[in-house]
Amino acid sequence: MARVTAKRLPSVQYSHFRGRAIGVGTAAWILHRISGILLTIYLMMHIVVIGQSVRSKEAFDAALHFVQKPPFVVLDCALAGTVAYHALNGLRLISFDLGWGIRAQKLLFGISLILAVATFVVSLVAARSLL
Amino acid sequence: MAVVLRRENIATPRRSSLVERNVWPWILQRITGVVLVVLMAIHIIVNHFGNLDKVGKTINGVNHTDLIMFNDVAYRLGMAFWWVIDVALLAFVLFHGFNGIRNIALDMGLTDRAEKAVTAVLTVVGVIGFGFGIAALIAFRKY
Amino acid sequence: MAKLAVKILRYDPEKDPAPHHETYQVEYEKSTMVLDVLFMIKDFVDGSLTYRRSCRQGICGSCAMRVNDRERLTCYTRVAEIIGENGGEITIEPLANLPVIKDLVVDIGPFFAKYKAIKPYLIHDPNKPVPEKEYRVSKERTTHLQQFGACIQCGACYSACPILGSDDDYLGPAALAKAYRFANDPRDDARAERLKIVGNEIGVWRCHTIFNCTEVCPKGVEPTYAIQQLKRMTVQRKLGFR
Repeated sequence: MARVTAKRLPSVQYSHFRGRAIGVGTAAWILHRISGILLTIYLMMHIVVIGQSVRSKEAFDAALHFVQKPPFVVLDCALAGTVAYHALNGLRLISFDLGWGIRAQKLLFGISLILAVATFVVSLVAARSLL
Repeated sequence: MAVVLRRENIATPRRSSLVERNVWPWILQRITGVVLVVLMAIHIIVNHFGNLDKVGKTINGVNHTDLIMFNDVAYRLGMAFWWVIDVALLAFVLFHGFNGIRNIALDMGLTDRAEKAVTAVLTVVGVIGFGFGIAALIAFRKY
Repeated sequence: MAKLAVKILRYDPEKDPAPHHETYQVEYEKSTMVLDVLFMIKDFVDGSLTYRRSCRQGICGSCAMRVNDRERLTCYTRVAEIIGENGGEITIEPLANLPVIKDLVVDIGPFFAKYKAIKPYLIHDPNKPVPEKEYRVSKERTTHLQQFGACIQCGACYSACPILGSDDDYLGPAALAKAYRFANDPRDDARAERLKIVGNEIGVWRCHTIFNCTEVCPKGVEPTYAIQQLKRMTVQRKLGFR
């Protein structure tokens, strides 16, 4: 039987996102990774914004005034929710690394997700005076 | 469903293996992660909810138009405790974030040389970020 | 007998420009397995259909394929049980992450090369005395190890792992689970050597506990659990205790 002898061999790859291919573990991983990337990008923007203090007190206050307008307050609450999800799922991963809770992995994911959404909602409520 | 072309001899790894490697990045990612849970909680609560009741009011001759203002931050950073917390937060979060990006790059399957290059670039960017951050923090203490 | 539409991914790399689905009409009854459907199509409809099979009783691991978007053993999967998943249609596709030789047959060579690389056999230290009587392993430990020894090397976990989708060098769940089976065997003297093989960025650090392998394994091996244990063992060794 003749084998394909090209230097590169074709294989099939399926999307992570199709139907039953998405399980709880995959969803948790994808959300963790996306939240991590978003938070790293946010971090770099944050350093730039807070870095306005180097220019002057007025520059800092002007920049902070801009990013405390109501649309940004909502984004900040979403940020809090993202941090909460990443942190809670991170703790879930650490529990696996310590050998605990592997068989309860779906439940732990559910708890992380619910608490993260709760964080978002609670921050919105707490910050309602700024909106 | 996609057709992906794989290199011919995928049974032989492109990287030098058979030794323990990347153990410390893995350990430190977990340690910084746990510490960050605490530091981030403190950071968000102190900065975003610390002065919530003072917004829009003038107290002691100081007008708090916004939740976060230079003077409030400078006052907090004048205390050694908060200064240490913020510097630690900066260092830990930069390490954790950039090490995470490094892991994503490693997931794509890098050769030894590519891995060294990625690590070098991320380290440099991380150190620069730390420099900017420290400069920003120091600026608060000048007043 | 009920009617069934079967969509199969056909691909001859030498002839076809790209893989394509072809649909066949067959009939099935209560006891029909997906493998029986493949037999029916090859015997009566299209003799060029190519697939692997052997024992037809779920123990040889030859017939692992992707059925309705999920890795399964076709000899072990009853059509009647999965007919509702995709609106009365069954889709059969080859395993992912391995080169396709033809139709549903993939080159399983890399899978076994990685399996071999972790040294799937007991290693005795020649400097240690051979015990007078037999090696004693407790019942609990034996039962625990048997779970990871139950692997039939079908490749379902290898296909299900998204990390292998982006990194061909990753050792993969089956190899790592077997590495754990031996590293945790009290009769084995080569734990340090085994941890060196797996304790790196093409071994355990690439596992992000996605759990796909655990979900698709037909034998309940739980490779994710094994890999987390290997991570612990690697760290413990690095930090100097145990």
